[in-house]
Amino acid sequence: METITFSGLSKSYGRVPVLRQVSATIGAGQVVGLFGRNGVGKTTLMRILYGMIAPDAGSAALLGLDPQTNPVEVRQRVALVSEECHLYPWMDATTLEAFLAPLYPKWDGALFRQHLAGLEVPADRRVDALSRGTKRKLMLALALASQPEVLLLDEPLGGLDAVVREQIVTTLIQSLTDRGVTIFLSTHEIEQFAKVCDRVIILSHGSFLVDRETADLTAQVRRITATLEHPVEAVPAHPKILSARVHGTQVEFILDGYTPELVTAILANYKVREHAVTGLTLPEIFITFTSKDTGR
Amino acid sequence: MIKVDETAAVPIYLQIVQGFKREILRGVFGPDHRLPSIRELAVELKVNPNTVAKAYQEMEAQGMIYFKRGQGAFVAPGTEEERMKEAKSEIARLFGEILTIARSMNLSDAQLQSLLADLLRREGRAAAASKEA
Amino acid sequence: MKTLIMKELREHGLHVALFLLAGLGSILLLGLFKQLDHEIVLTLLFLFEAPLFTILLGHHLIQSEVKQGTFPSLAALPVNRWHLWIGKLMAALGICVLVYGVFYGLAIMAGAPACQIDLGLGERAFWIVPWLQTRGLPVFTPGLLLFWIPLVLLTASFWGSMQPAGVPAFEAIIGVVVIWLLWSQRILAAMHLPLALGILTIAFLISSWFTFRRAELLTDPWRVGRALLSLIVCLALGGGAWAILDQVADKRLLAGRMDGRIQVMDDGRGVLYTMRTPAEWFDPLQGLGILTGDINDPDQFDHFRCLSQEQGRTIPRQIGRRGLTDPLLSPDGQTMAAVALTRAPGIRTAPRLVLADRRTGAIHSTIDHQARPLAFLGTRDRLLYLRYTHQTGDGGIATELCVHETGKSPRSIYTAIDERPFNLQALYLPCLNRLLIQPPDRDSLWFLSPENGELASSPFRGWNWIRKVWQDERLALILPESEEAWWAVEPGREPRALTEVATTTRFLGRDAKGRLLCVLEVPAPEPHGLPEEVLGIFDPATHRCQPLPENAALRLNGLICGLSRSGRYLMTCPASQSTGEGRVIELETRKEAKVTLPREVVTNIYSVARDGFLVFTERQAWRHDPETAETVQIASFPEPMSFWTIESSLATF
Repeated sequence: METITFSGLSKSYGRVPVLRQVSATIGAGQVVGLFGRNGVGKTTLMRILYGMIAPDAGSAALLGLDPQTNPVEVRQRVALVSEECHLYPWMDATTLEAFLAPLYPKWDGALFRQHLAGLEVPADRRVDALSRGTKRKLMLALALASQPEVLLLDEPLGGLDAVVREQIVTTLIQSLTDRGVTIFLSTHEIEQFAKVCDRVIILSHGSFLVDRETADLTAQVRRITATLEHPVEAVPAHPKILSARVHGTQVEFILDGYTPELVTAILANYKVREHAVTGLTLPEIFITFTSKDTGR
Repeated sequence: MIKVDETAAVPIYLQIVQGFKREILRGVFGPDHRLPSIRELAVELKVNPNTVAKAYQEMEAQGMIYFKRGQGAFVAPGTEEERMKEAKSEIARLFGEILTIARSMNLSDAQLQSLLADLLRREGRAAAASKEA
Repeated sequence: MKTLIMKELREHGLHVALFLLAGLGSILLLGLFKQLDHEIVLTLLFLFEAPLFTILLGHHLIQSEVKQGTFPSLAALPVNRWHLWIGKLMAALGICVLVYGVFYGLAIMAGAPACQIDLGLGERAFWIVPWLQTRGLPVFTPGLLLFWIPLVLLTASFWGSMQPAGVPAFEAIIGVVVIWLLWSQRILAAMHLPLALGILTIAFLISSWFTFRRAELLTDPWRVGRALLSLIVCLALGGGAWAILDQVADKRLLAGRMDGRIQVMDDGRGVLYTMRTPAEWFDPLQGLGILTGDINDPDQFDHFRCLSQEQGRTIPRQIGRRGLTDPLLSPDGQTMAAVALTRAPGIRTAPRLVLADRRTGAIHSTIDHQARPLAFLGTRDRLLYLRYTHQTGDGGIATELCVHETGKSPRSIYTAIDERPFNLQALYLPCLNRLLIQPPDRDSLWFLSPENGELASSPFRGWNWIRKVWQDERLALILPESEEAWWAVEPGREPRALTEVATTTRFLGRDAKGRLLCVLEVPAPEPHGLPEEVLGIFDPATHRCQPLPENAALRLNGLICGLSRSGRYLMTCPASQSTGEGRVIELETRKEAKVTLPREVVTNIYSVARDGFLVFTERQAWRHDPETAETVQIASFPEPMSFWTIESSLATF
């Protein structure tokens, strides 16, 4: 049974389509990163998966359960950590535990306190007296205390300083090994999670532009720089060329689906003095894909 | 120690494998040395434990390490010649990369060789100096 | 779900405590500056502070989540919407019970009487009364104040709290308008408030559940439309259910008590009367005691219907809707004047005087408000009625005699003002075209002109009314309550006492020759015998009664007599004996016929049609026609009818 499945999900706010029939399947233990620019619809997708919003079309299943019809059981086994803190400002960690623990059958109080200590969150200070980073860590501790099988993280590191980021990432990795959770996270800061995600999904203009293993993505998307004998005007279009730049005799293009033969084939059209193949960082890959997608 | 660079063109798990290979060749990890657990390494490197697991699998496939049930991963004892062979092929590979760069900068063979001799001389003098100190 | 309730309590606990303190504080402040009158305490606590708190609480339930931005976290809990909603509602109810309980305790300590907290149906125990009522405001019962009003306020503000911020102000305006409409006397005097408020509560609850369920994160601007629409639908359904219930209730003829007068209709083939039944839980109740002036009057909790019993029908028939009462048939028997108490299903209006069709009860027109009919003056075009008007200012009540004439506006011919309304009696004398009334402030009877309200004194002294009267167009013979003597009143002559006529004389009517027949007492032939009652005639010239020689053999001792309208037949029945037999005597021929009647004591004999008689026994009414010798039952009554009930109803007053 796949851990997270959704197909044909669509949602529009008024006339603006935010999600256009997106589909994906995430298996157990995977760490999948959903990358997209700000406001592209990542939070919407998370909320649909959590049953807080209803999609206009399509269906979703988490751990085999439909979040629209069975939200209670889904939320007992799947935890959502949002970017904004919606916790009651007058509560503190202890009150929150008293409030939330009865709602989750697998709540582990000792684990909660362990995470609080590990993340350096004070147990008796009101939420509105905590800094943004501490609030986020508290939310993470609350999420993990219910021993979820799936973690949905919406911008988990947004707006946090480096120390807190590291604490959170460490905690997440520990959960991965200790408990084998499946993580589906969304962010616009792709380099934060480049090492952690084993699969990357890029959301742009309502559709999934890319849905690939991280290793494959870094392996297949390469930049070719070539110095030609004679200057050219442009690089002819090729289905595997994502973008190209020409400057006099310098030509640079980015390939998706890199093989040496492909490079040779493309360069065969020119008289090449020399060429070099380099890799791109994930942010560069992200920018390449999203700037190519104009929303048509 | 092992470092991974997510911006490099090489997949992370391969970087881990290469990193371990380097350390083993240098003798930092001797035969039967216990490798860090997947969890420890994942936390330390801030990478996905699956990636670490994949790296370990690859290393086991290449014969670099072996697993003992319940105890973890250990460096496989290899013969001196194997290590030498590994070292040489690694150096050769590195030389190949240097060569590519040199060629792109239009360095001739003679210039390369004199550069190498220069470096060796300076290194030998430094070693001697540190021995005296 | 318990955690949800606990969380709400913890969240609002401080505010509740502050509010309770404020309540206590306000009472103490009052105590410092004024005498602690428990009514003021009650008004302050339950008409201002507690309702305000309830509205704020209901509103705060959801709005606090929205303002704090915590609604998404609620929506993300592994709790379904139903539990979230119920949890909030339960918490709010619990808090309200606490606050109201504490306030109730404070009120008791301040001296208010502990009351039976009936849920609005025990409206007999009024709580905040006099100074509000004099200002025209309604009285509030404990049930209303402690249960129904808070419930409606809570659910209404709960409903409103789900709308965007501006809407509650809009709701408040509607609320004020509705309240003004309700308390405005002319339009809606009183609905069955508990039922109406109950329907409102349920409508608000259902609508707010509907809105909450679909509302996702309470950001959708269309939720206002959805909420309003669902509310309207719920109210329509509730109102529709009430209307149906009202119809059902209307058709149920319950056993009740006869009230007021009996009217004979259709030449004696039917009787018309008011029946009074205790109000059922869905009946509209009268919340204000203006008509009777006594707020503790049980009249307001009873229901009135107009019933008729007719020849050939075994069960009574309801004329018109519930709430049609006090019928008065017009002389032609086709219309009736009555008091109507309901206008729309379930809504009780201020009583209004109407003209209605006698057969169907369909109302033709409204004549006046807060009025009841007394008599038709000769024709169906002139109606004498009694009207009560609340005087503003010093708060008295004016009782007026008014005359309604078709084609003209009603005119008031006599007014008496006091703090309570009067039950003025008036007797119409067609021979003079005058009314005989007893002004409340005078100890005699006066003549009143229905044309211009001119008062003229009459010879009848004392506080007493009239015991017997017989009259036609030319002559009125009146026996006052004091029973000194019969008086004759004729046009163009001063009223004069008939000193020669015994007060025991009973006048029957004019015979075929136009002579006024009466039942006379004549001395017994033997010295120690009882006086005999014989048939006699009244001589207007000599003002004496003389026995009729041709009927000298006719003994009328201990018999009730009635003369047919044609004057040809005399019917007699034994008084105070239930022989089941009566006699009809054709006066010309002296032929006698027996009439079989039920074995009950006969109380009245009433002449109908040309030659017929309507005989009232204790529980029945039978019609006998001497021409056809037909005797048929017209009506049966649930309770024994006394002589006085029928007499006073049927007398040509």
